[in-house]
Amino acid sequence: MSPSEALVQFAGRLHPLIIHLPIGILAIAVVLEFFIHKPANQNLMPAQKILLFWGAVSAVAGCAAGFLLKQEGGYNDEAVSYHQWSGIALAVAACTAYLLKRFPVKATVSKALSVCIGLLLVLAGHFGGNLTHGSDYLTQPILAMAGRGAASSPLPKKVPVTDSTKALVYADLIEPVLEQKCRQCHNAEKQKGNLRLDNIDFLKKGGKNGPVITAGNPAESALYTRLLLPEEDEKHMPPKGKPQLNENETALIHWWLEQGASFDKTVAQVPKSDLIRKIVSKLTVGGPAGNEGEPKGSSLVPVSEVDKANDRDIDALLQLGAYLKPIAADNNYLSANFINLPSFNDRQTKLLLPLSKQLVWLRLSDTEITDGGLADIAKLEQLTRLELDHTSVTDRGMEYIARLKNLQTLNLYDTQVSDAGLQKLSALKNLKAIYLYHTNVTPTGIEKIKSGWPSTELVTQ
Amino acid sequence: MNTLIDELHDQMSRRTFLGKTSAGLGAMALSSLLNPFGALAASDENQSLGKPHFAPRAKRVIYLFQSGAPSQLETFDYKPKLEQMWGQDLPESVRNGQRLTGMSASQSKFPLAGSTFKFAQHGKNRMWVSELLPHTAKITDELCFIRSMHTEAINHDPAVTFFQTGSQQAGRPSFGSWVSYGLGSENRNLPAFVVLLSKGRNGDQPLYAKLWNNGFVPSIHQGVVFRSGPDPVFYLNNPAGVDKSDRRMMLDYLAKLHQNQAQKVLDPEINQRMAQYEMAYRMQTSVPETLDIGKEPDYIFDMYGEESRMPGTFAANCLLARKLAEKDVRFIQLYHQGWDQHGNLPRDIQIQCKSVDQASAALIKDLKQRGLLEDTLVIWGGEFGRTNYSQGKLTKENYGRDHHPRCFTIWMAGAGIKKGMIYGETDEFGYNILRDPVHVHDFQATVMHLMGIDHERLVFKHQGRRYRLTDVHGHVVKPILT
Repeated sequence: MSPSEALVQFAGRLHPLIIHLPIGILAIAVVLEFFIHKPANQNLMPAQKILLFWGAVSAVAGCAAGFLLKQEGGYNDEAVSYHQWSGIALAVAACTAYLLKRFPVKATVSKALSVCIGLLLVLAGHFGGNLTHGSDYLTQPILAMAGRGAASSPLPKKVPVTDSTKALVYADLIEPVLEQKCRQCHNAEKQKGNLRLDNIDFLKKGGKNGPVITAGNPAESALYTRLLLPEEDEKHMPPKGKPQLNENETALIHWWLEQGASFDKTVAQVPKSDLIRKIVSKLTVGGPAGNEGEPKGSSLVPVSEVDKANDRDIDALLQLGAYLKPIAADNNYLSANFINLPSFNDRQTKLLLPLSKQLVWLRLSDTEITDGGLADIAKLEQLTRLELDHTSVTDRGMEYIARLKNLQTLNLYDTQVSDAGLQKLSALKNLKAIYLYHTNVTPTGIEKIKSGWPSTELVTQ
Repeated sequence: MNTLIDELHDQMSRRTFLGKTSAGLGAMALSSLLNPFGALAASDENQSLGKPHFAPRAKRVIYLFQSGAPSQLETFDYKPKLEQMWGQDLPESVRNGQRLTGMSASQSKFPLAGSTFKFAQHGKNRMWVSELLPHTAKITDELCFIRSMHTEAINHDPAVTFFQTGSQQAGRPSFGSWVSYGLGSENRNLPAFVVLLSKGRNGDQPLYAKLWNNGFVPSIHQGVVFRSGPDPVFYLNNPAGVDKSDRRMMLDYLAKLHQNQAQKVLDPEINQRMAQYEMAYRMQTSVPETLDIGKEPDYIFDMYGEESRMPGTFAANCLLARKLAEKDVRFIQLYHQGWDQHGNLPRDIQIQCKSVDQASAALIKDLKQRGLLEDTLVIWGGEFGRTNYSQGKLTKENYGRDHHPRCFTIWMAGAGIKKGMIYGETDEFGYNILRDPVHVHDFQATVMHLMGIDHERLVFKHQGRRYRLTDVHGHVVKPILT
């Protein structure tokens, strides 16, 4: 940008500052006009002349700056032209009013002119406001109150989607974000970067730098990458000082783009990470967080959220030498491993009970646990994965294990479990894999139970 | 004495000095006024996650690295066209001016060489495997072949370094170090990153310790080599005449000295060193216990092959890898040398395949029967592929293949990987990729993803820049995930 261009741009951007001068000055002049014709107020006449002079000058300056700002582009031509011509008319009217003060004219004429100036002030101001905030900015709350125009609501969505299984990814999760954080500058009237985000066709079309969304690839989608730039960066969106997207909103946009930027899929049809599921469940009420579209077997972690476990209870196990960690960041479910504690035994299983809501993965391989200890283990109702290999558990203990309805994989390798024990586990309908290598389970026993477990993998060798 | 203290103070690193004393310094005070968090945050930024970003599919990785680059054309990527066009020159339209290595670029002809070994389809998905790998052929239902791997490196050292560290230049942390830094270990008695070495034949490309080096992440995350033989870890055993209680006393006193030093010098590496001494102490018990294959029954040796009884072979290392996986070692890295067959390929690749085939397949089966395959990821592959034309003279009995970075095959199996899957496709000449290319960074991103790590968020700030294993690249290969 050459220095002169920069100067032009700078002057143009002074427009919003300058135009408030004629608004204030001329508003006073309009009011004053109805007083100065009374003989008692004759002494105010010189003040009125000064007001009209500076009102006219600042109105002209405002017009000039406005014209320069228009060169920057990014606005709807029609909306600009309304604002432009009403502004010019106001400047002309203000100049005329000032010049008329030099001649003796009838009070009615100058009062009429003042009314004109007042009307033009309102008109030009309103058109200008529409350019900056959008044409429905002013009327929206009224229309919303009357129950109309909700579709284009720029207000935060107050009513959460009631059923997350039926919620639409774009319409219910993404569009509200665009609405609140982007459309102020990318709408029918104001199109920064020639980009409109107020309907799907324009969103697909993109702006002056080409498309802004690449289905399946957030890293190639300006709609997402612009959000990630440092706030100081000129290309960062929304521009510095405007309301920014929060982390959840950014994550939603990433997810929507990554999953193909569909405009008609429901939340249930699109795979979700733990984080997205959490965000979605916060934004919606009722219904499970839509687990249908997920490939079965991918989720060894419950969908619903759980409270954080008590630190004291965790410490008790850590002190003992167990490994105990959350499954993941932002997840309160726990994984426990007794790999460094082969002495863990039935007397110590009680320590696990306070964590029964949180424990989902438990590795007790090679510990001293026996059937007696499994009575406590059976109370860890959230367990999805349990490893009991290389322990002395037997068929008797399987009665307890059969109570763990959420169990998905069970490792009994190198135990004394036999066909009778296996039979007791048939109630575990969610079981996806059971490891029976080096047990007393026989092929006949497997044959017998197989039909009840159509999708369970029985690994014997 | 004074001079010694001066010396110690000189050792205080500039970074530590600035990090710890900034509050009292005018310049630092100014910078903290301008950026209240920047000055002090640097030292707190490099924190290990300790837990994954999201729920992991894989708790451990066993990486069977085939060093020297196995030929995909004799193993997994069947190209009958090369047999039909045997001896004809590689059409220029296929190569299209792409770079060759200096070793074959000056050849006047590039005669196409088909595999002398027969291929057959195996398993439910009819996956092509050559007769060189009969045991692997039997377990294809557990495997996922990626036939469209490609890399930027053209020579061994940069190519292996690229696979292991995400950069062709040495100095970045190894894959296992990143994972160790990110997730830590579930077993406090063994390192999170263990390395086992073997070779199929002598005289091949060398390996270097830099491949399992921790680079700029703390040194506790360095890969530890377990050697074959009576002394698996150098200097781990007590010297003659020193018993366990002597060692304990010595370590306790050493720890005191270290603490003093750490308080004076403020070098975080001292704490790392202390942690390593303690780990080594625990390893005095855990290593012999874990590496003892004496208790393994005969049918296990039969499964892995007779060589598994010989320490230092690939087969023995596969068996050890299983034992380390049972002990929850996070990243188990095997390297098997001997695949660099520029000449005499038909003879050498037979020896080489024989040394890995049975044990690789046995490892998968063994992990599966123990219930470990569902949370262990196994990877088998080299640093690049080999050319479809012969390097040197082509005869019916003998030929060689040069380096080929543009396409090669690796396989993955286990945790979170689709079974019996073929991903990616190469052209009928086996020269270029037709569909679904997988770059080295994509591969790394995918393995990280399976371990619950977002490869874009596991970063380490070093010399003013935040580093990732995948640099600024890498896309998770979703279609191969369950």
